Amino acid sequence: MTHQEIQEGEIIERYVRHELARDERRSFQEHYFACEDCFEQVQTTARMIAGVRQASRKGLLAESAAQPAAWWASLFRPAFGLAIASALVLAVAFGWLVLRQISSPSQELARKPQSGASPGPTGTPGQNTAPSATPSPSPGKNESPKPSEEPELLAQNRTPVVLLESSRGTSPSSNQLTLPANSSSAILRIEVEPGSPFASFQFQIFDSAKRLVATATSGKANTRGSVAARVSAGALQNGKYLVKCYGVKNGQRELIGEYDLLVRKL
Amino acid sequence: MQTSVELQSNQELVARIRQGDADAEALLYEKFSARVYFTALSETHSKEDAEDVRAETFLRVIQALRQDKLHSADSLPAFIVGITLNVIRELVRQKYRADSLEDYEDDIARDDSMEAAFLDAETGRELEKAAQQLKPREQQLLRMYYFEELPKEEIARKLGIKAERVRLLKSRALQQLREIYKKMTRR
Repeated sequence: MTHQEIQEGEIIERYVRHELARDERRSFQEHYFACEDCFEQVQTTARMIAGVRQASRKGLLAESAAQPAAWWASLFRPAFGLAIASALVLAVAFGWLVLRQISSPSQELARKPQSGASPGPTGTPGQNTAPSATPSPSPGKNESPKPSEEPELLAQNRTPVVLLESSRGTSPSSNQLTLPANSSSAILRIEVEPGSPFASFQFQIFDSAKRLVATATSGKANTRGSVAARVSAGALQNGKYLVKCYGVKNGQRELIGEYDLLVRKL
Repeated sequence: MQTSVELQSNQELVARIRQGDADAEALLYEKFSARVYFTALSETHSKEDAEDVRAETFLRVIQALRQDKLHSADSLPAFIVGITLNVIRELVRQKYRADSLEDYEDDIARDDSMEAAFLDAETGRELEKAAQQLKPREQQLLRMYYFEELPKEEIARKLGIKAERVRLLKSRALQQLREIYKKMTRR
């Protein structure tokens, strides 16, 4: 690899952004191990790009013109918000009344064997595993780690993974990511059709104020149709997020899914 | 490209290490340790992993040189790269196999933690200030390109420019950021 090739092919920047093919990457590494100039440049470029990303994440850089509002954006408009809030209050009140009636007989039954009863499983069905102790036999299923497993799990230095399942039109978010305090990153996974035509995938993560807080990129889906991308744990706080996943092909992005995500930091 | 002086010194270093010269081993470490660390950092985006990779790589390199396993001193840089990448692969396999990530080896370093990997607190603050001194359009462009990672066509549409101009304007904006940062840190 020559200096000319490096300059013309934007090799340094593409190296930092992991856009080089494996053999090009290796070739450039061998080059900068022997070239002071390129080693200097690649370090500077990595710092500059990291600085831009950090400033962007903190909302310090000017944003581009507003994009067309997404379908869910209308939910945040005051008029819609008020209507939805009223509907929710009515639904909760109605639900409570119904449940109260249904639960009375069962509570009566439950009182009798009280002494021998053991508490049921805790956690809501649908929480995704954070760091799992053993590979899940059915990674597509959302599972909740048992509380007793947590200390053991936390002792292991593994990256938390969340399998995102589309939540549009369904009830509450089933995608939960539990981040142990020592996690530096987490992995977002989605399942797509095997043989997906996209060359890469991009995840954008928005906080509840619709602010873009993180992006993550992955290569092609694997043979089983799994796509995984790593996101910095530092970009995520406790709370709800919206994750948009785009498939990228020939420089064009196509939205392939939107996912609710609930983050819980330990 | 490697200069003759560097080639000479590599040959000298290799010869001295073969003879068991501890000072030459220290020199070898001094010469290549930042590169090994940076390579590991750029592959793993983890400072902790990069430190582990650096330590293990030099153990193996020095052992191999002592045992005369390097055929030509000219290929010392490529030899160290090879060992570095092997150590990284082993680390990644050990660390992520349990998460069934062997299929994603290519993606291991595609994470969003490059800020944590490449910036310390002070550099991060200085770069944030420098970036805010760019023109609004430059800020928008860099944000869309490096953070939102939008395709060039989409960036061009949003900025009202031709897609072919995106690369050039982005390079200029990044160069501008570099210069502002350099001026700030020179003070």
